[in-house]
Amino acid sequence: MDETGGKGEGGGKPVASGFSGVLLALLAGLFASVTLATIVGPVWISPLTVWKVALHEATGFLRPDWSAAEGQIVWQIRFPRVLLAAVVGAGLSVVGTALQAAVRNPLADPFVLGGSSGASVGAVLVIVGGVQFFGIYSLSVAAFVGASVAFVLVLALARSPGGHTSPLRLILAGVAASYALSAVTSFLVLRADDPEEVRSVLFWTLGSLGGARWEYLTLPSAALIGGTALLLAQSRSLNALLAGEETAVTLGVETDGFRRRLLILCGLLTGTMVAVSGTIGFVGLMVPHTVRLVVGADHRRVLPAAALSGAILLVWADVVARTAISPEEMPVGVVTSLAGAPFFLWLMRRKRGAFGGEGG
Amino acid sequence: MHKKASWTLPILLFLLSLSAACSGDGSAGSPSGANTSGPEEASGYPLTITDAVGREVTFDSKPQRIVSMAPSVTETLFAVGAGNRVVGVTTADDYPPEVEAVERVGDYRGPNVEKVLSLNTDLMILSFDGATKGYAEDMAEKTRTKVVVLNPKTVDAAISSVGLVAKLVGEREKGRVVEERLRDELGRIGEKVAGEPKPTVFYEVWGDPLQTAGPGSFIDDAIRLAGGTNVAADTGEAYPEYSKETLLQRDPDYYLAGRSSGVTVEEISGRPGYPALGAVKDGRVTIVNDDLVVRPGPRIVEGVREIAEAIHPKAFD
Repeated sequence: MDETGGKGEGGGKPVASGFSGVLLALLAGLFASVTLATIVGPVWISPLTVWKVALHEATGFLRPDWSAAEGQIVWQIRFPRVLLAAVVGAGLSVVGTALQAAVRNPLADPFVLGGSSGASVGAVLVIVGGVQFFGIYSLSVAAFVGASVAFVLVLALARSPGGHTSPLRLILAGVAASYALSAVTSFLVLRADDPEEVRSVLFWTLGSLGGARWEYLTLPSAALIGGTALLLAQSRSLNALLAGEETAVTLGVETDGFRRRLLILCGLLTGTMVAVSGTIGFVGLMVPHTVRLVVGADHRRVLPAAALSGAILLVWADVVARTAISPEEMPVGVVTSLAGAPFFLWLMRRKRGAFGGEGG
Repeated sequence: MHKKASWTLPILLFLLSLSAACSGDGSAGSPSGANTSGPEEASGYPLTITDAVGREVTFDSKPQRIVSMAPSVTETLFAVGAGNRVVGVTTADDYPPEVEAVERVGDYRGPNVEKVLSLNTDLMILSFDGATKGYAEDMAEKTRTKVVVLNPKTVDAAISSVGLVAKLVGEREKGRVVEERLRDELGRIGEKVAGEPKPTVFYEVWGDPLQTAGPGSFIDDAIRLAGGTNVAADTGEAYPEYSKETLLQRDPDYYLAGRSSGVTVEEISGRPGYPALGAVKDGRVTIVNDDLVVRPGPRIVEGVREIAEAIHPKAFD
């Protein structure tokens, strides 16, 4: 366990001074990543043009001396996509961090409580079942509703007759719900008449930021900022939860109610991210652990560092997804898992301890 | 945790490996995918054919109870006048209307053995990529039915397989007529577009994530025959996910989208970046009946014609 938050006295000490350096470096890294990612793409556009387009669109200055297609590629395709990658990467990492504390399980990720299988049912209903209630937003709305319904279901199922919600019950209920919902997805997919639909479902479940549009940024950004702020305000309780049920109670945290509120917040955040990107795996599992290995387990450090690292990771994963086999695209979930797993294992073998709940 | 990943994905991948029905990547032997040989007597039987996976199948008499495991084959059987002998089809079959009354014995992944057995069939025609030699032999043994595999990869091969199916079911003459009509029609389309410049065409299979039809798909072949150039011809597979940036850069003259995804011209025109597309600006976005172009049956030339009319409006005035 880490020296700062692991023993449960987190919240008392001030955040160590070395951490502001880490945070600054990450902020600079994110800024650089976004800037670089917008000049990389399957279509070559000179960095100067990219910045001129951005300046023109943002401020109205400069007379366009670039083609309409270049303008559209930069401003309507790349910018929303890169920014969405940053927001979704940050969101998944923050949710993963909070959930690992909430259920005290190092294997927890944003999808541990049925979110991804619920979202998949919604998406499959749209893709295979042809359910189209919300026009172009059908897929997003269905995914969000699916994820939220799964979450509520799991929360209700996990509640013991006495009204108590333990981490173990939560995980078991999540596992059971995931199996049931996956069965629904499989059934619907098996009923598909058309192999192309099956392929579309596969692309969606592996995650993609290819559908990014400016409108898709508003809600996830608001959810990310609001959610992270709320979680940061609760860092002390999160630290206590991660340390263990008894410690938390001793420290005066009303664990049951807190955990419930925490899970609802996580469910909403997950649903919002899944709605715009499909189910991108591994980011929400790996980033929190990696960050803890570097900055310790205090949530005042882990949350902002995880948000920034997750953003940087997904921005670059998406750069690979859209350029590696151009003009084809790769599902971004394939990239995150393929590149993330070896790095994570390497880091894990180098360092010991500091895993959420490990030995706690 | 990854219940979904550990469960749904393998199933999806498995299905995909079996599927790509009526599309195509892989190899075929002769253009039609199969050959026939037999005495040229009036009845045509006994008849021996070599199917698309190299199996020799001999028929002593005209098949009377036929199972078709692909909508394209069903359409062909009805087109050559053997529709009344079709006793089993797939869940995807919807043409001609008479097919509604026929029992469903499987889907594009293959037949249900028990159902086929209960129908006491004497011919089963398979036409999908998963139908390998081993699969066909296994199926023939289990269902005690003669199994023939077709696997046309091009529009031309699809037309040839119409003739082959007709021969198999003892309707050689009708088959010849249909085949001839299709080739004539294809020839007429070819003549009309021959002198025209070849516009570039993008075909949308699915909108989000954007999916197109690349080499090895019937759509790709149909675009070529309709006198167009597929902008996604340099992709590595039949139905790849496609980069929007590249689409905007290549700025195709025409933008076609399959009807079955439920997409509309308005929805396509309103997507981010799309207003820069020439096809959107000049109203050259068309929704086409994709059933026609993805089914290698007797209506495939209609599919080619639909694309040709969309991308060469002047030639078809």
